[in-house]
Amino acid sequence: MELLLDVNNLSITFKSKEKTVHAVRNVSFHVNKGEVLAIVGESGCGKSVTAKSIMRLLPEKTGRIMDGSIMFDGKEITTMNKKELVKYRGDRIGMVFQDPMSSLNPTMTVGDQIAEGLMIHKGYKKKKAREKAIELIRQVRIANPVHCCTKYPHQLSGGMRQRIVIAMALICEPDLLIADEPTTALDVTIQAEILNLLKELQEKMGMAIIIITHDLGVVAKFSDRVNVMYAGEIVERGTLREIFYHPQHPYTLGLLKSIPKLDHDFCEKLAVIEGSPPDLSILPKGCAFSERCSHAMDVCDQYHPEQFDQSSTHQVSCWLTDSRASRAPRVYSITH
Amino acid sequence: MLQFMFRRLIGAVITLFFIITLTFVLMSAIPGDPFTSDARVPEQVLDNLRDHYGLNDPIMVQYFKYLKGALFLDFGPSIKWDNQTVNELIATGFPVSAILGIQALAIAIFFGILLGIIAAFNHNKSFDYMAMIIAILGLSVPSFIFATILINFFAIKLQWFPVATWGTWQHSILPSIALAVAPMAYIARLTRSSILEVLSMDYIQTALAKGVTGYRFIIVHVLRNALIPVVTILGPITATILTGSFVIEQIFGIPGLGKYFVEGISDRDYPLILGTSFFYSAILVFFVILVDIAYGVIDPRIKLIKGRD
Ligand SMILES: Nc1ncnc2c1ncn2[C@@H]1O[C@H](COP(=O)(O)OP(=O)(O)OP(=O)(O)O)[C@@H](O)[C@H]1O
Ligand SMILES: [Mg+2]
Repeated sequence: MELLLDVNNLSITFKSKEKTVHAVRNVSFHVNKGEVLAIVGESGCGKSVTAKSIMRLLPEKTGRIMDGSIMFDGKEITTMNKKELVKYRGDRIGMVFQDPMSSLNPTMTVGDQIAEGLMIHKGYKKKKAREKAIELIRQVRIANPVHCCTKYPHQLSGGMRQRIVIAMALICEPDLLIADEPTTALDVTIQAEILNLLKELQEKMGMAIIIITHDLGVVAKFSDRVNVMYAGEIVERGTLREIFYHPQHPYTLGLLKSIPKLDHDFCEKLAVIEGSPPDLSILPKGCAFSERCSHAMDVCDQYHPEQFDQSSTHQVSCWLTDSRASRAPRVYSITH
Repeated sequence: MLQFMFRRLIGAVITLFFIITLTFVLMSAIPGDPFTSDARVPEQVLDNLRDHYGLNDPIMVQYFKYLKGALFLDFGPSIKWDNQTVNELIATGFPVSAILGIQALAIAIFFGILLGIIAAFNHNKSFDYMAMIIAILGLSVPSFIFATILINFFAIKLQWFPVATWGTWQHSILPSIALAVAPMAYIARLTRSSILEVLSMDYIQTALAKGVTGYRFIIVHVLRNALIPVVTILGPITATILTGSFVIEQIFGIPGLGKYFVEGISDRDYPLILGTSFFYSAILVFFVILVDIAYGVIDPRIKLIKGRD
């Protein structure tokens, strides 16, 4: 496996007059060529911020990468100048944003928006770029691509727009596609179509994908590995199997329990994780999850959990996995 | 497109009809007539004069005469300016006013947008504050004060430009600037806030994520969207410039249409008032239609033109 993206000890803060929000804290992860990494966690845990930092798209004035490194294909992104950076954006790394309704330029035809990447990065002339754009519109399975090419975003449905956004991100055949909740704004049937499409394109083009979501159903569908984020940190990481069958962190377990199942008994309430995430402007002394954790021990409030290896691919930041935590309920297993 | 034009044309005719009627009503509501001031003239002579200009006719007859005039674009002879018809006066005054107005409009649009762009891309830096202070001053200082300052400084002290009147191109510069200041300030503020809004949009993030930079980023992705609201206010801006020109032409002693209009009012030169107000309204209505068409071209979400699916 060849390493494509390597993020180490990344910390990002947002400064305003009143406070400093520690949105991402000490996050490390990697993506190999051609694999799919999922980042999951509830709203506000720093998923989008992490994703944007890879493209250096954080708001310049307020958002700062305080520490850490982001190596893409052996090059450091955090210290890159604008000129070099632009060569990566859209060419080697593509990005799909959450809301297809607002992420397309309203005054440009979708064909031009897709073709633009080729004109910028590959020096294509307009005509040739458009031909390739039409070809890609066909591949994202929109009927009558020649006609669609000349349309403006407001003339297309949400599902079609998201296909256009995906085509736009893939036009230069990037090595890495970052999809930030690509299906959240769409209705359920279209969600499935878009995911299938992404999967199919990934297999065809062989790019790596970071898929960001709070929907574990999406994760189960096509990721190889999973990072679970909570309050700006990665609390557990592992392969899809490890996360789904041997979750170690109480938060991961909570997430898994809150998935509705087909054989769900409707008299029984869906499990939810009580409480809400901590305020990221006040760093907790111990584990950020301890307040909401039903297994919390004294140590959890006082000391930040170390990272414990479960296997070479499976790491957890939770005191319960420490060998000294004998009282802890050891086995969380759920049948899926 | 044809259908759109036709609808707008009908609308324009109705608008103009109301303006003519309103002007006529207001005009006749004011006591006195064009000859009131000539105190020593015998009553018989005055009556003859009134007869000559049809002012003794019943009010409805006068009204229909004016309507007919407007319909055939012939407003008859002026009362004050001997031997000249209103049409002739408009024909002499309008080219002067048009040069003044178009220059002012060009200055306002060009520098307004430029100032707005520079301010927006230096958001919350000193240049932004400076540009916005200039804009607020431009909006709040009345144009006649501004005109006086310009004359004082550039014409009297520095002697770069002639003080007043009309003739060469140099004559037109100070009045054009004085006329342009307020609309320029308005356009600058609108451009700035519109750009800032566009910059916070999701599609700008998308463009950046695609690697779009520089000229292409600013023109195609930011300005193209940010200038849509600016285009929509060009109609009202034209109105501001038209009305502004009344004052400016007076101050600089420019023999434009605005001067005839203002003097027509103080002289109670009824045909001249009606003729010029009709003409001004027609220009304004024309501009508003023009702006609407431009709006439809620049914003694809607005569909005036059928079949552009
Ligand atoms: N521009 C910003 N200025 C200040 N704080 C920000 C900014 N962007 C994000 N944050 C903060 O960073 C934290 C993480 O935000 P982020 O958008 O990454 O969440 P997320 O995990 O993507 O959530 P969601 O699922 O809702 O998209 C939030 O607490 C938010 O308040
Ligand atoms: Mg997000």
